[in-house]
Amino acid sequence: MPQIILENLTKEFHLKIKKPGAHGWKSLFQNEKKIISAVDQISFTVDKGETVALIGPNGAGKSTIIKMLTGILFPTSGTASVAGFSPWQERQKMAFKIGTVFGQKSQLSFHLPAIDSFRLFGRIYELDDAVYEKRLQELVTIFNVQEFLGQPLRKLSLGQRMRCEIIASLLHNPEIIFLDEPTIGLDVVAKRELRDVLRSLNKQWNTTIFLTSHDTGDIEALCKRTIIINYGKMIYDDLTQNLQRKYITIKRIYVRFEDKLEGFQMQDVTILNIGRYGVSLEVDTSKRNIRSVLEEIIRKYSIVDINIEDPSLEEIISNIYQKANE
Amino acid sequence: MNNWYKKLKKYQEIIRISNNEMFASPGNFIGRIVIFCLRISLFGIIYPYVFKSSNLTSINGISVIQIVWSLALVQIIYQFSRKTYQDIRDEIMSGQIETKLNKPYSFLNFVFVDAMGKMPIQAIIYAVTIVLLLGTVFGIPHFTFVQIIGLIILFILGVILFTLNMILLAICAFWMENPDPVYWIIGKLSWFVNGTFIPLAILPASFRTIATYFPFSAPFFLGRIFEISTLTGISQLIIIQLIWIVVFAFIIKYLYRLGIKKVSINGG
Repeated sequence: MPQIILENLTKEFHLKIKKPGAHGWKSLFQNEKKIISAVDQISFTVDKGETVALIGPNGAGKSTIIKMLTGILFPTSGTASVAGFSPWQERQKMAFKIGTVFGQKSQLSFHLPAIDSFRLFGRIYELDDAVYEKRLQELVTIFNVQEFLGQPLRKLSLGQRMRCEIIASLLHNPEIIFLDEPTIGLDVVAKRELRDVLRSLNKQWNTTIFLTSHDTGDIEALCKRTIIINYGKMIYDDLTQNLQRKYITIKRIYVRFEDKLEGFQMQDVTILNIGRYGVSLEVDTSKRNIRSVLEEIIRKYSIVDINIEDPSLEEIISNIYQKANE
Repeated sequence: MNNWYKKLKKYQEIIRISNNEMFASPGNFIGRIVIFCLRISLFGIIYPYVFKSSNLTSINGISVIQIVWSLALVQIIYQFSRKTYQDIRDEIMSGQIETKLNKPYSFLNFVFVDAMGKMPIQAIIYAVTIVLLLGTVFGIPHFTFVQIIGLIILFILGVILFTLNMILLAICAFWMENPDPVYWIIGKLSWFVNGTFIPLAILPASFRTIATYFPFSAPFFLGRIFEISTLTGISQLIIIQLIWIVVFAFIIKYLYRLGIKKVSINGG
């Protein structure tokens, strides 16, 4: 049975429109209202142990979905079930089964050492002392935070703080962990460490991971499945590797020649760059077969090296967003 | 039983953390005590001067020492839970509330216990401050046994009620962009009838009647301990406070249930 079920989940926000400048006072007496459909009839399921990325451009509705699934926001219509509970009707019961990390908001006390907040979380999640100590030791080892456990949170770096945030959300061994932009603001090393840890959590405890991120590195490193939403609507739900397969119609070819290049020309191929001994090409595979391009190059020129690349996931996703907007 | 014990420990830990946070920046805490001392010192200078220049020994049977003490007692209540209003308001307005709504506890219980948890230590510190400051300058006024017991009960219920007042005003942020105007209006209106600057004992009877039944002045009843000193009178004040506590608790719970559905948190 799926661990997360969404059926036609919809969330509308009623926004007050204020007149600009000196006319702002008019809003005291009459308010123009605008209804924004942040999430529009979204349905999908997530099985236990799955790693799912929910992505989309700013304002697409990703965070709204996570906040509804964690019981923070009430939907306008539709239903959802998380670990067998209705998030907004059985919020407290469900909270024992889930962990949450919001990259932009801290759940730990800013002035106290992380260890104090961990102890509070242990009590909040009603853990027995022995269970809490054992779990804390495991997580402290995995996340390598021993040396700064006793320092006030405000004195930690963003990466150290984020590791502490994740420990706090994992203390009660949740079945599902929701992460809303967990790597935001982290440097390359901290990002890699965090992804490694999350991956090992998924393997070791079969924890379901459901994350939103703007960083395609998170998606490639962590998530086997990707859901893309735009303007509150779902536009893609498939394996992450299929995302590349399905949407890659562009190939880039980098060729180095033995002899000096003169008057290079090719039909139905975009020439990105020409050097004295090399060329960069872009081939739209829907217009011309990559094989025929390679055959032509090999036939006409003496080649030293050839390299064929797919566009990055970031470019693919960016194209999907653009197509959806069109 | 085990379940209840775990829930109890949960709130016990919240109290421990809230006390730790209170002392995490000792400068702030000491600063608040210094301002408190300055405020009551000011009363201790102004009122004796007014009495002396008017050749008065008492007004409505209340001596100048009792006046200064009653003003200081009212000031004590202000030291509790005012930050509760700011914290809840900011959490709702900034969306930080989301980090509490996804935890296995009631948000209202959490903020209430968090505020009340600081009461015992703060109460001792402020009581000692008042006794040292006013006791050495003016002396300690005579308290009957009934007044002492009444004072303790009125203080505890007063802090509870003041905390509920603050929570109620703060959760207006679910509906308003900023509930500060409501907070300021009610706060300043309360000054006239809760004895913040002028003890109720020296005000006209009509003011005192309003003060007795105005919900936002009920937390400050301990300032009336010299004016209403009989067992019957103090019992009436206690009953009024209890009634308001129940009323406020119901209103807060009801409004919170409505308000929580209106939470709007912008995404990332």
